[in-house]
Amino acid sequence: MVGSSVASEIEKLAHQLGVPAEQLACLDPISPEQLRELRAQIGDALFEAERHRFTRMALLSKAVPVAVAAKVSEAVLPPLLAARTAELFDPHRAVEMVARMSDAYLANVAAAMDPSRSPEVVVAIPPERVALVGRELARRREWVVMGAFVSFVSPAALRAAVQVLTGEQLLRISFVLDDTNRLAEISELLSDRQVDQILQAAMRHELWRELDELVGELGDKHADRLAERLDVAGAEVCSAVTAAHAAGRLGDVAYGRLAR
Amino acid sequence: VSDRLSELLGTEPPAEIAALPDRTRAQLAQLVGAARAQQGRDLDMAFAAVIKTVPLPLRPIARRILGA
Repeated sequence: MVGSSVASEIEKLAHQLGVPAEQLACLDPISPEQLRELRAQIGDALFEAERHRFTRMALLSKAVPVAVAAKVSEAVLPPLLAARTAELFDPHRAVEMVARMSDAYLANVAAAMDPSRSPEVVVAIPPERVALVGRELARRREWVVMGAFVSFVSPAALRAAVQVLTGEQLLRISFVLDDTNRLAEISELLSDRQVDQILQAAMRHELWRELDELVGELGDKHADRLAERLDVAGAEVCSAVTAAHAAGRLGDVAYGRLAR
Repeated sequence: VSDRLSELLGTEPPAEIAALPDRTRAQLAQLVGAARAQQGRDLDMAFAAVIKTVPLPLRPIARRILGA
């Protein structure tokens, strides 16, 4: 299932702890649900360990003019601390701060943020800003971060972000989605070009695991669209899909839905 | 070892994590502890830097709020 695999959960956990995923190979036998629960526990623990200082920082941000707060934050606050402090902001103040920060810094903060801890802030960020930061995060290949934000951005922001991403980027993000409930919404937003890019990316970058999970998760309508695009994708892509299935890299279910 | 991880998390870890070998749980506790320590160091530096960076007229407020 997309986003629920052990591999993607370990990637998210590694990101949270600031270590390479390989360092957490010992967690391979753990179920995705339990890894997700552990990640939530660690997020809570890290926040609670310094809640008093995050609270002070948030109070200071409210006590000074917003322009000063944004400038000082960007100048001296490491993104991780800014992200955790933002959890204590009211959404209106957060949006005012966001408007005054650079895309690069905002991307750094987003990369350090657990959006599930401040959903009201995330949903209030304007679509055009989400798209700009999304493009920057994609340039940095922050798929895990982007996958976590998908659950919380507004529909308009999701549309704006999907428009600036390639099919390859969207395929990589789909693999680490925290919540697959918006997969249908994303699929509706895809252009034919992006769907074609998904298939080409699977072939060129060996993203069969990602494609397998995506196809398995899609509803019939969107899986049919992928199959239709595969029909016109050319011999090279079709052969690659067949070869991936023969090699066991693309499962029977996904192959059956693609190569109708 | 399980106590150390539980202590850092502030709760019992999920059942499958709790059932891991002692050594694995110890490794995990070490990683969580390192992340927490790093966060503490980053906050120390950030507090000091904020005081130096806010405009002079606002520094007394900043000191009072941050307790620095």
